[in-house]
Amino acid sequence: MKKNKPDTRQQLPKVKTKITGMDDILHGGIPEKRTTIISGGPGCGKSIFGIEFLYQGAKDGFPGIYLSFEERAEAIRQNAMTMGWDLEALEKTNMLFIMEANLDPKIIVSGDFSLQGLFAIIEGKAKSMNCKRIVIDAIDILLRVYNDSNRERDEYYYLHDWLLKRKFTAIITVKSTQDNNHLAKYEFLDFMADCVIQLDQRVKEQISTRRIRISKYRGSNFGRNEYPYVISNNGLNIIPISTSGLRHRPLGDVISTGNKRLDSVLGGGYRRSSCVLIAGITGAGKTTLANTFIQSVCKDDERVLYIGFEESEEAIVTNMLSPGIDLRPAIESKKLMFLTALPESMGSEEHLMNAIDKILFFKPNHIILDAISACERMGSKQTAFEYLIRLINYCKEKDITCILINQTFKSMDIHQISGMEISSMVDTVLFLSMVEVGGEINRMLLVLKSRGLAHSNQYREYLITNNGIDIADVYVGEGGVLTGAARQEQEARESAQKRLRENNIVQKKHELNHKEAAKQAKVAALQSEINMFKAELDSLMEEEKIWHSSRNIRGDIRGKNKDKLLTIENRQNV
Amino acid sequence: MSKEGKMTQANKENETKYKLKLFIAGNEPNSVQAVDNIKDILDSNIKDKYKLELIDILTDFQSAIDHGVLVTPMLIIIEPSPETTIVGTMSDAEKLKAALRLK
Repeated sequence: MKKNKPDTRQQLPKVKTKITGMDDILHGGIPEKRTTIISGGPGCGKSIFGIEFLYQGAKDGFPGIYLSFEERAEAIRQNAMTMGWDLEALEKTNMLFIMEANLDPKIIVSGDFSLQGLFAIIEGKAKSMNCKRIVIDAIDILLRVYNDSNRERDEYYYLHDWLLKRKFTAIITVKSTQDNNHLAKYEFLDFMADCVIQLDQRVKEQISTRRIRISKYRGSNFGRNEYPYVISNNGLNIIPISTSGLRHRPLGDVISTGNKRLDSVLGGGYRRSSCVLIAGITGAGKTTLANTFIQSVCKDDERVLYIGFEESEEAIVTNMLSPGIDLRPAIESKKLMFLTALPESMGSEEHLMNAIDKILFFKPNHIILDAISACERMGSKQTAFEYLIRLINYCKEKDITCILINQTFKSMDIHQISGMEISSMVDTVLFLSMVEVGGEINRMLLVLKSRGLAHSNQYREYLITNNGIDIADVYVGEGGVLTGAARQEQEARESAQKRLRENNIVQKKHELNHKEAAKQAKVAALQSEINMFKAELDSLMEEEKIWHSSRNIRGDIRGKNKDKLLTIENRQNV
Repeated sequence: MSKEGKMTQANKENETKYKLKLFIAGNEPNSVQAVDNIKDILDSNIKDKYKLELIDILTDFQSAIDHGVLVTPMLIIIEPSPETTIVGTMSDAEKLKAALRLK
C-alpha cells in the first residue's frame, strides 16, 4: 500500500482561493505561479471571484493587484463593501492595489504598439508591494484595442508567458457570450491557461440558477461536475456537496422522539444524525410530531434549526400551543431557530446557501424541514431534488439529524410518501394517515422503516390532545387493520350473512301468511257448519211449533178448557 | 536615463504652443521608432514651438499608473487642448498632424 512506498509524485503547488466551496472542487486551490482563466457571461460573478480571491489573500498577508478594464475603481470598492469587504483599508496598508485601467475608446492608433505599459505597471507595483497575485478583469476589453484577432492572440501569448516567467499567480477573466463566433475568438485563452473555470447563469422555470464548472486543470484532479453557486452577501458560495462522495457517518445513538409510546413503536426513538421522514396528508399531525421532538431535545440543551417553507415562525409557535407544545422557551434560550422563506422567493442554490450558512452559524444538532413537498416550488422537481440531496448530504456529514416533513395527497401512496426519490437517504419513515371508521376520522400511525431498530409493524391509533400526541394501544378495530383481500373476504362474508337473514324473514312471513290463510279457511268451514246446525235447529223449532198448535186445536175441539180449570183446583187441594 | 534630458526640447517659453508627453518602454523597438518618427514630424512642422517630455515607464511606472499608460508607445498631447492620446509608432504622420491640427 501507499504507506510502504514513499510517494514520489509531487503535488502541484496550489493557492487557496478561500472562496466558500471553491477549493473543494479545485482540490486545494488554483495553480500557484500559473494562470487561471475565468470565463462567463455578464453578471455571473467573474469580477467578484477575482476580488474575493485578492481580498481573502490580502487578509492572510498576501498582497494582490487588481487591474480593472471595465469597472471604475470606486464602483469596485463600493460593490465589495456590500459584502463587507473593506478594500480601502487594505489599499492603505499596501496589501491591495486597484488599477483602474480604462482605455479611452476615442484613442487614436497610429502604427504598432505593445502592452509594455501594462507590464511595467504590474512589475513596478508588484515589486514595491512584494506581490505575487494578479487579477486581470477583463482581458477581452484589453485585447480589443488591437481590433485584430491574430494580434490579440499574439499579445495574449506574450502576456501569459510574461506572467509565467515572473511567477505570478494570475486570474484572468474573459467574457463569454452565447454567440459562437465570440466563443471561438477567445478559445485560445482556454488552451493556454493551466486552469479554466466557467461560470454560467441560466434561467430555468423562471428562476435563475448559476452553475460553475472547471473545464480544465493541468496537473491536477478536480471536481468535474457542474456545481450550483450563489452570490450572497458574503461573496461567492459554491455548493460542492455532490462531489464529496459518501462521507456519511454511521447512525448515532438513539434519541427520544419526545413521546414515550412513539419511542417504543420505533424501537427506541430516532437515531442521531439519521434522516427521518414524517409523511401524511394535511392535518394528520406531521408538524405536531416534529415539534414534539423539538420540545424534547431543546430541553436537553440541544439546538434545532427549523427550515419552514409553509408557515411563518409566529404561526408555527401559535399553532403548536393548541396541542400543548410551547416552543417559546426554546426560542428564548436560543435552542430553536427558524429559517422561513417562500420557496418561490429565490433559486434553490440560494435556499441551500442560506440553510448552510445558518447551519454553520447556529451549529444545530437537528434540523426540521417543513415541508419537502413545498421544495418543488423552487423551480422544478429536479431543483427540489438537488436541494434536498445536497442539504441532507450536508447534514449527514455534519452529524445533524434531519426531520423531513412531507405532505402527501392521497392517504396511502408509497411513492408519494418518500417523495422526490430521496427514499434511499431516509433512515426512518413515519406514515400518518386518517381513516374514517363509523362516521369518525381516526388518526393512524405506521412505521414504514426504522433503520437499525426493531420497530412495530402495526398501525397505531393516535390522538392529538391538549397534551400533545397520544398513541393508543395496538389498533384492532375494523377498517384500519383489515385491508385488501382480508377486507374483501370480510365484506363477502358479511353480505352472505345478510342475505341469509333476509331470506329467513321472508320465509317466516310466508309461513305466517299461510297459517293466517289456513285459519281463515277453518273459520269459514266452522261457520258454515254452525250455520247449517242453526238452520236445522230452526226447522226443528218450526216443526215443534206446528206440532203444538195442532194439538191445541185438537184440544179445543175436544173441550179441553173445562179440564184445565178442574185440574187447577184439584191440585190446590192436594 | 540621461537620454531624456537631451531629448527634451526646451525652447523659448512664449513661443511654446505645443506640449506633449511621450511614454516609452526603454529600448523596445516600437518605442525607439516612435521617438524618431515623432521628432521628425514635430521638427519639420513646428520646430522650436513644442515641448516634448519623454517618460520611460520601465523606470517610472508611477507615471504610467497616473496617466493610465497600458500600451506603449503612447503620446499625450496636452496642449493645444483638449487632451488627445495617440498610440503607436506614429508611422502614419498624417494622424499626428491632424491631432495637432497642422495642415
